[in-house]
Amino acid sequence: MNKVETALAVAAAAPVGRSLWADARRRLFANRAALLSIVVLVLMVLLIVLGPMFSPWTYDYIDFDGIWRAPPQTEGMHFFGTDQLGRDLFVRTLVGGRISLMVGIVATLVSLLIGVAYGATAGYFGGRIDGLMMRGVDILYALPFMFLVILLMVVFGRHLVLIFVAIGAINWLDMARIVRGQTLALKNREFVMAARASGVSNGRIIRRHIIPNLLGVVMVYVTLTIPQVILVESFLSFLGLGVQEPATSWGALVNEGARDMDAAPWALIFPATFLAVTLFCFNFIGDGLRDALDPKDR
Amino acid sequence: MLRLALLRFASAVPTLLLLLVLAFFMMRAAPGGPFDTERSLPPEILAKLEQAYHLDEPLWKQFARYIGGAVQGDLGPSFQYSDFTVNQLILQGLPVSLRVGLGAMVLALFVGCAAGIVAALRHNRFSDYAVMTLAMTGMSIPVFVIAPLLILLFAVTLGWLPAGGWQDGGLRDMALPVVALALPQIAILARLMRGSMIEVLNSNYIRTARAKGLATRTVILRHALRPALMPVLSYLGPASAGIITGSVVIEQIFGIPGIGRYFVQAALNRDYTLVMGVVVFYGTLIILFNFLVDMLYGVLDPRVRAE
Amino acid sequence: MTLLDVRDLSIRFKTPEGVVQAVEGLSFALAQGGTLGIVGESGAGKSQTAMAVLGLLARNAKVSGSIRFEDRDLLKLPESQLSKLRGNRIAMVFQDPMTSLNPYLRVEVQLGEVLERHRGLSRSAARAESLRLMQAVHIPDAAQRLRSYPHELSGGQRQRVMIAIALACQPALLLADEPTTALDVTVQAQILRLFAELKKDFGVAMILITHDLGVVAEVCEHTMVMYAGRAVESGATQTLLNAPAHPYTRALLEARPRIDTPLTDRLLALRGQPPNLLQLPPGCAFAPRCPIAVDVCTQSVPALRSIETAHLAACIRV
Ligand code: SF4
Repeated sequence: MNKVETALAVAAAAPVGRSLWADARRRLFANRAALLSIVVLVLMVLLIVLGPMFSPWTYDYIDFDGIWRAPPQTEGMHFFGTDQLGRDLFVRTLVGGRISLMVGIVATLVSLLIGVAYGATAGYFGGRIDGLMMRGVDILYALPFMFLVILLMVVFGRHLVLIFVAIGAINWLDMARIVRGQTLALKNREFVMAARASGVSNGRIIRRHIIPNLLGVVMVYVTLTIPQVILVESFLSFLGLGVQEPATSWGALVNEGARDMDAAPWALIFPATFLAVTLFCFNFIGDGLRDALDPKDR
Repeated sequence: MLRLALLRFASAVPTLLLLLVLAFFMMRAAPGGPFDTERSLPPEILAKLEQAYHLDEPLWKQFARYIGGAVQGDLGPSFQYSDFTVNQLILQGLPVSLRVGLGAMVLALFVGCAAGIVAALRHNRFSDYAVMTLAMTGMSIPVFVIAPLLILLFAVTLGWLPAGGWQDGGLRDMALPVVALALPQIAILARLMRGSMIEVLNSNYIRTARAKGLATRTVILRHALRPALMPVLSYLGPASAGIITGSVVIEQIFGIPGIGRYFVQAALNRDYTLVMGVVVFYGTLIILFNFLVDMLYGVLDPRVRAE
Repeated sequence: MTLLDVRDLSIRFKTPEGVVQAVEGLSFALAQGGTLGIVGESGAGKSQTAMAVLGLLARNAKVSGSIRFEDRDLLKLPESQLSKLRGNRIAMVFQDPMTSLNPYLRVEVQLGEVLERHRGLSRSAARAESLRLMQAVHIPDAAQRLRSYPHELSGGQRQRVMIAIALACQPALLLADEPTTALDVTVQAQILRLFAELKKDFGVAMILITHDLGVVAEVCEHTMVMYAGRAVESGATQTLLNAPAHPYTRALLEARPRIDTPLTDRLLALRGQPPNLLQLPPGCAFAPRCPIAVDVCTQSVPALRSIETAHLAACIRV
């Protein structure tokens, strides 16, 4: 029965004439989980970017006299303790976070670029070209990509750029499907047709109707893809196929930490917490964004 | 129905072929060969070896040979475990992997769907928020973090369950790996189930069912459950892929002698045929499973069935 | 004898945007076997009124007033009692036959379950009775159609199935919410004829909700026009059609498709938007769109008063 009430509410609120975005923002900020996640994520990014400056250690400094120091180590300034090579885990966790976040963002942008171009083309042309292009996507969709990516890493070695490309290449399929669907739907929507019929210019239609509508799904998609990508990267790193030592990422740190977790649980717990919290935030923000932009009762 | 089967089949075959081509050529494009060991072999032995493995033939011929073998179910010899063929290695690990994988799948389906239904029926109340928060947590903690934490808690601290290994493959051996493998899928399934259940409960035909004065139990069990399960059904394909991928890590962490563990070792040892064999085997399995799920979907949805 | 007596019914929805006033101070009565048409634009509160009678309002609804049906106040009945009335003494037909039937269940299940639930029929008895009902609503090949899934039926046939389900337990009251809106014009006429016929054969009282005065003219003895959750005019259908008193009723009548008036004149008759239910304008809710509004109109809500025998209107200028 909730459809009735939402329909009523929407119908009733419509004439007030608040813009789509103002509405969406208000709904997003009314969502406490999403709001909190945004705050935490901003703090996380600040910490990752600036944190290492406040430590006397570097991520690759090896100190065999100071291995496996338990936190909190305030005199030694090892806030999160040290690992099996005496490297400072505070700095390593933050620097690993830089890599994880960077992979997440860059690879998502790669998939965004491919996906939008492909999906928009298919949706714009429609008809047979669309059918053919989407059949291609269907075929690729069923591939067990994770295995191919692992194969790729095994064969070509561990390269940061390769990770971007490999992960980006997996995720563009979703984006292509979403963008194509939206483009197709938007082409024939009443408000676009109505705007066209009443002589609104093409540019204005695109600005007022197409872009805001596409932008919404793309934003939701991006926030939900970044955590997925971070997860894939950490998965690869965990298998020892991610970034090359001494550089590190959260996945690699968790891998190392898990090996010696009964002796030095902190080496597992700190990077694992950072990873989980970050994924948590992204997922909450993505969910919140989706609900805010598409207030279907979920 | 037959048309649907043919249609699905027509898109499964190119997927499979593509998988074979990608796997094969990616492997061959690799710098170096499988016999580049630290102490280099005398050239004549190397040549013999290459001849034995048909590595001296042109690439297309090797590919044809591999496809020919793969179609007949022969995935070639392993480079690393030189006494075994890839088939033998996979068959050895299969029963173990199957038990863990199926166990996780069944657990995920039951717990995930039940949690999702509860959340949907208690929409916007405490139990809904609780389930959804837990599900979000499950989605945000990777398998390889959950697994060590489970070991830390149940094996190291409480000492209730073994930290790993595979004694008799009984419940004690299976408990932790299965739970670790299932948790992320439970989270995803619960969210999916809740969303589709809420949508169905808001649908016009449920309004009709309630207007008929049916008991709430009848409305939910007879009218809402089946349509709400359909999206879950179509997620089974990706879920199986997720579980298989996850099993690679889980088997590694828990020291379970399944296919996944071979895969990681083979990858690290550059045992190309074994790596590729596993990719092809699991890939085929996933594609086959997707195909079956599609067909099942067709059987269960009267609208699709009619086509 | 009075079958349904609605007194001072108000329905409000609490939404994040504020309180939506869907129905306000609505009173009407319906005699046994009588027919009432409720007319208005979407959002006038027609459907919510019907849902209130069925006890199926959304969870965030707040209802006050009383709905007496067969001498019981439905608003005070517990859900267990209500569900025994629904589909039994009170039945409803919805607007969209395409989505109102469960796509996963055969027609015989969806029809038979009402008989099993309310009349306690066995499965086989229910099947025989279903067949009879399908024939009563003139579905050809009834036996075969019972085995069909909804998607195998045409829109008109599906609506007939919905009507068969509604009539299954010989209800005293049938609520029909825009039962013909989603159908083709020719099918619409057929379904309306079916309603007229069923009214005669089954003696069921009917509330027909529609935005189309033409539909009401064909089926209903009495008509109530609603605007922004309130009744603005009610009376015998013929009186309302021939001598509409309220400016809104007049506008509705003029907006009806007719051949003798040019299109532009018709569209002019009902200009402007339905009001925002979150913030109703002060005084008469129709004032912003009313062609004969005067200053006093915005001062207080005009009461529904008798302007001649059995003809009520809520407008200070009649
Ligand atoms: S009360 Fe005034 S505004 Fe309302 S209908 Fe009558 S004349 Fe028009």
